[in-house]
Amino acid sequence: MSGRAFDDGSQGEKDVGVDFTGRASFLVSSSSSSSSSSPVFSVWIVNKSGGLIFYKNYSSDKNTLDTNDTLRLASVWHSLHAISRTNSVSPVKKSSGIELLETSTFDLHCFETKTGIKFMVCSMKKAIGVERLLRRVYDVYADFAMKNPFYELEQPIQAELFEERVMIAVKSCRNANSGHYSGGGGGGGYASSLY
Amino acid sequence: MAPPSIDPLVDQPMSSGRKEVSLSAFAFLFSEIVQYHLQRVSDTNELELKLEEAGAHVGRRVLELLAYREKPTRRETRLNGILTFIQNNVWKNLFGRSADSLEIYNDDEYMISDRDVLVNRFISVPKDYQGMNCASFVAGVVKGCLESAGFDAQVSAYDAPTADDGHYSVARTNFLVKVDANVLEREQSF
Repeated sequence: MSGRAFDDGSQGEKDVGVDFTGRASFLVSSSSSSSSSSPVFSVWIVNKSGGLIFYKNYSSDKNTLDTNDTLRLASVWHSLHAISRTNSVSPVKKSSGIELLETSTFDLHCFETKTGIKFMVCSMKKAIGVERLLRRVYDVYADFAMKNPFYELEQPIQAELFEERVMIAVKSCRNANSGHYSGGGGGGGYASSLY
Repeated sequence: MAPPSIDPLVDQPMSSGRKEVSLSAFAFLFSEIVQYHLQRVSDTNELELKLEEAGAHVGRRVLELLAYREKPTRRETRLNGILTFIQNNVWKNLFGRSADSLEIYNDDEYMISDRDVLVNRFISVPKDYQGMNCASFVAGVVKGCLESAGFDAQVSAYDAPTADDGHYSVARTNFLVKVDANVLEREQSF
């Protein structure tokens, strides 16, 4: 599980490392959303060759990325993820690649399937249930994209039922977070870093 | 001399149990059927026709099986009878529950209405295919059943206004059955 945290905090909060800071600020534009709104800012799905096949913004902030930026970001992440898996970067063999990127304002969770598809969720810091959300989105993908005869493999997903179910998954993540968010001890699972 | 051995399969009573298959396996298979036809047609009407044909084959076989399994002593000869048989027995065997409703539209038009049709569970029809419904396959099943029972009819599937169960939106599909004139004539002679 090496390479779990990208930013260990010791380099100062503003330095996220790599040339990602400038872009990272694109991902979320507000850090101080109230706990009643969704802790999930956006959901991304990247296919195994680095192409973005699904992007949806769920934050109330309408200052969203344009299509080209999202595509570029997705392939940047794809490459970074691949680099983090190589033995030359990872001190321990068989790294799973980046699973969590922490910044001072948001967390980016990434889950890569055995088949190489990456599911990503931008969430508030220490939001709980994001790991579960990632797997639920994977479920939804398996059901409503793969079993849909009008979906072409590796292509952007444009299916009503798919979007509806992802939306429901995102909403249920909010419900899990309401009331707990201010506690501070929420995402205890990520507290320790191997770095 | 030992008696000649009898095929054990013939000896067994006919299974009446409902065998369920994996929904995933079915969904993938159906998806492939649609994709297969999708590559071989020029427009959505043709695609619906192809699905209907595929369904009709299922319908014919299902009627054969169920007529023997569930009503071995009786043959449906009236239009209402066969339609109720389809709404209840056929639907239950194929999809696990009866269809929601069976209504009479005109003298020769009947409508079977059902929510959350199994074949459509995972399917979102893209905008450029608007108006097409993969439940044409099920319409074909109904047509196949009716025809092999001696009721010639045209059956088509339509999207009905979407209901909402508070959590998910539930798509409704209407199957419009238009019975041929010769069947109606026969009905009136009873």
